[in-house]
Amino acid sequence: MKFKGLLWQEHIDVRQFIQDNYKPYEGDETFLVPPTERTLKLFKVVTELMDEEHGKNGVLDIDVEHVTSLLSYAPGYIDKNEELIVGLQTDQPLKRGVNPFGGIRMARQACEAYGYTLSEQVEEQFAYKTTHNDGVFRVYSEDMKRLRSYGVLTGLPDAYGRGRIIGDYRRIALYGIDALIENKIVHKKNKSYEAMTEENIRLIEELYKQIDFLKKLKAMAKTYGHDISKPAENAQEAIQWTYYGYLASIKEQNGAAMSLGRVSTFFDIYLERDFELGILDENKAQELIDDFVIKLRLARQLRTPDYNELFAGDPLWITESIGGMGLDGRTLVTKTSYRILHTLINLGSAPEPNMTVLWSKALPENFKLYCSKMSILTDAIQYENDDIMRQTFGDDYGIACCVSAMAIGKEMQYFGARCNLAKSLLLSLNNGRDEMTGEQIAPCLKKPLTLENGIFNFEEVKSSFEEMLDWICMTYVNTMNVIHYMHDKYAYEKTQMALHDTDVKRNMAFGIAGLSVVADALSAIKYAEVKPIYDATGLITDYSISGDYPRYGNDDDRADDLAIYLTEMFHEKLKQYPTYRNAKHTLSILTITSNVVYGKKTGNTPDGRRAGEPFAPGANPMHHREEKGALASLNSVAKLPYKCCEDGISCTFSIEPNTLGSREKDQIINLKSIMDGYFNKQAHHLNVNVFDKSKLVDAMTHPEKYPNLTIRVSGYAVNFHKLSKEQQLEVISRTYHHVM
Amino acid sequence: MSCKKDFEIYHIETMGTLDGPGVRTVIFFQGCIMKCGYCHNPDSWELNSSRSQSMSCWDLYKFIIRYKDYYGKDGGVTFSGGEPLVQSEPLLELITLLKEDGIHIALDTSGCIFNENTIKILEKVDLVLLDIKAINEKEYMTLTNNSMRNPLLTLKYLKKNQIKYWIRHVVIEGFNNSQAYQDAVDKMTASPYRERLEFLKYHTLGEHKWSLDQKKYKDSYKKLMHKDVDISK
Repeated sequence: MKFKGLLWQEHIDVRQFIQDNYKPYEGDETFLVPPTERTLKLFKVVTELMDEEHGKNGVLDIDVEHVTSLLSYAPGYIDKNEELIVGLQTDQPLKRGVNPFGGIRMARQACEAYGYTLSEQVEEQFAYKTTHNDGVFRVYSEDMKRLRSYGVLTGLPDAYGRGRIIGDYRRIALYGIDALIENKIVHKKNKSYEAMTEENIRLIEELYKQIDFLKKLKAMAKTYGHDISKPAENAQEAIQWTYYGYLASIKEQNGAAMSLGRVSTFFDIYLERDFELGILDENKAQELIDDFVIKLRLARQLRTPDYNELFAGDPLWITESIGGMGLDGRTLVTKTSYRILHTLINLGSAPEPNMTVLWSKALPENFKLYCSKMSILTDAIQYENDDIMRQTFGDDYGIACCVSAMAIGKEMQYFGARCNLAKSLLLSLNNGRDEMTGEQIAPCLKKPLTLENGIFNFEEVKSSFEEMLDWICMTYVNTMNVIHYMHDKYAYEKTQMALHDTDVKRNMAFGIAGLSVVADALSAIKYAEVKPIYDATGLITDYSISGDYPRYGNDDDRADDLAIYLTEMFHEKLKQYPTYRNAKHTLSILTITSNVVYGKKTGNTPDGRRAGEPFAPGANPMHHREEKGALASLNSVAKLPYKCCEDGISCTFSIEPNTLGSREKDQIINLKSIMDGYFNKQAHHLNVNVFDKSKLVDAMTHPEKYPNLTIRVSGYAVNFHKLSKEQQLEVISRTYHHVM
Repeated sequence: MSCKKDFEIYHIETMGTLDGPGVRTVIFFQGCIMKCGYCHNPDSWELNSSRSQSMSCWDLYKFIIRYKDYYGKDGGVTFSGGEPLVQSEPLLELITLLKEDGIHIALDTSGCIFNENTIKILEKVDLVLLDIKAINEKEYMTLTNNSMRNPLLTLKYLKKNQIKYWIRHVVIEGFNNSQAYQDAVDKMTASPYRERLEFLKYHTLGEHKWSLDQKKYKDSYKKLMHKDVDISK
């Protein structure tokens, strides 16, 4: 039985294939089935291994002898005879490989942190090899190093893989690897007729690497007994071929976020065909999806404890984008959109894959209610506004990491971590001195602030802040240019980029942290009276605030307009400076779990926040400053303009079940209404947690009672027990919407 | 658009899911004539309070409209308090405006004020949440320091004019938590227009809000505790 459509057969166009062949599903979830005996048996082995891993400080085993790549290890299995989808990163489940391409020091430290020693042969191999990290530090300026070490620019991907690139893994299933190799060979040949500029030479060399790694990918599949040179013939092969692409990528790269893309509706086409051919039933279909998800839950990278402090819970951001609407108005929800979410029931709630529902006003009502129900049950789903993203990215985009949309196989991004906006404000108030140490780390202002009666003048503060940000943004853009030049040079994503069009659109994704702190600080300066308090050296170390002022998070335009101003202004400042490879400047308001670390590195702020206290995560209002209830808070966040924050605006929403309604049925409908309302307001992203705060408090002391406690934090889900105690307390202290 | 009188607002909760169906904006007005011994918010009784917020009818209208997207097919706005009917004049104006936008309106009242404005408001709202508090005059007086006459008139009006209502009754441990008592409430308030009968558990979280001179209203109510109520009266 042949698939419909001709266009997708003429050239690589997975979207066209989906559009020509998929079957939208508007029904409810009653067709779903529980896990089979086989799945349960296999998953039991996995669960035991994960328990063992947890008992060993989070790392079960490390292969210190090899450098991870596609062909470094013998094929690995959980239980060879029982697995439907095969392939592991190393030769054993949960054994971590070593990836020193980002920097040998980090790899060495990571091994040591867990009681291992990197083998001499790996050390030797890298003794004469330039890593991405080496390259970056050869070029970093003193200013860049200072902003980095004082915590103005943090989490920069200069010692680990940048990630946030989504290979179009589906291409392998649809076209077979040989056709993809052929295609790249033709591109390489065509490029060789063009002028040999630096840009073209770089691309031709990259194409050489891409072709090389596609061949390696084929060889890797061969070791598991599969010939992926030709297109997949059935659903099992389609899932397997796609998974090989993903597996090869995480063997090659240890990027912070290694996202999956948008595979469920693609798989659904193959599953539906097998149903029609009579070679598949629902049990078998769910089994394939369950097995695929088990594989994704086993994915690991070796990290250092420092890294874990920034991005807690061992995440890979295996983000799968589910649902959404097509440009022609048909929904992209299929039965497999349900099946993949249903793994949260069949295999229990878990952080990975990072389930991301693309919400649209027009999504089928049944699906909306199902998602709402699943959020209440599992706390493992995040939602993003398909109606605003579709306008920019079309209807075959995926989310990388938490909130970064990109057209799959056509766009990539240069991940840029974030700038600590609160610390930047303090730098301008202190004329370039760091508020924690008193060191001069930024240039002095042209005209230092003058105070009238010892009180800050808003207009003056604003213009000094902008002046400081001009310099910070310049340094930030330049830092990013250095990082990504070196990453392309020394740690280029060969497999993932081979699964992209040759000419891709590049985004450079900048970020800000501490938005709500700065919005409230400016609001205090504007609407109340804020006096700086100096230490003996003339450094401002604290503030006294008299009078009341509006706070971001209460749907009060006076404060919310300041937050809007900040994002727009920051984006404009970034755009003044040219980027590496002419990438488009984009911006996110996302902190992941790093809001704790950023807070630690930031002194007292003029909004009354004390030194060291965590920031609110992402674009969330500061804890306990929301006085008008949850929807006022959501409305404030919804006002932030996606147009200047195309890399995403993250908001985490935690609510107690009783606050959502007194009956379960009401809770489901009400949560759905809240999401409809929020996204209608052009908001971008929402993490949804529905549970009692007391449960988290209890889980801190009795972790054994809640082994799979999954919660959503800023853009991803984590197992609560994988957070540090500090992070757990921060999560608990966040605003929970509850009723008296 | 100008309204004659500004509202005095005790608190706004933008995400209410318990005071009426669906997702609701709940406006708690300042001011109440009742002196219930078990009140959660005694600081909402007095008008012209220093803690309340003043808002014009038009501003409150605009504020509520901001949440229209969240209401879905069941939700809307709930006017609560304090006692919303204390500010019935601007309230009537606000309700008229909101009706034009098709907003579902619920009124959360004790029924203690029954006059011409009350009737005009009852005619316009979609749902009344009535807290009837007691089953006879004597007990009502003990609990609230007020007569039960108006609440009963309100209940009668709802039944007669086919206005949808929910009965919400606070259950106090050791006083009215018996099945027989609840059956009596059920019987007294039953009609085809009663959509729900809810018994809400009393909690003491508002205790710290009681001022010294308000505490006298607790005396008579306290005597009721741990005494079985004779429901035959």
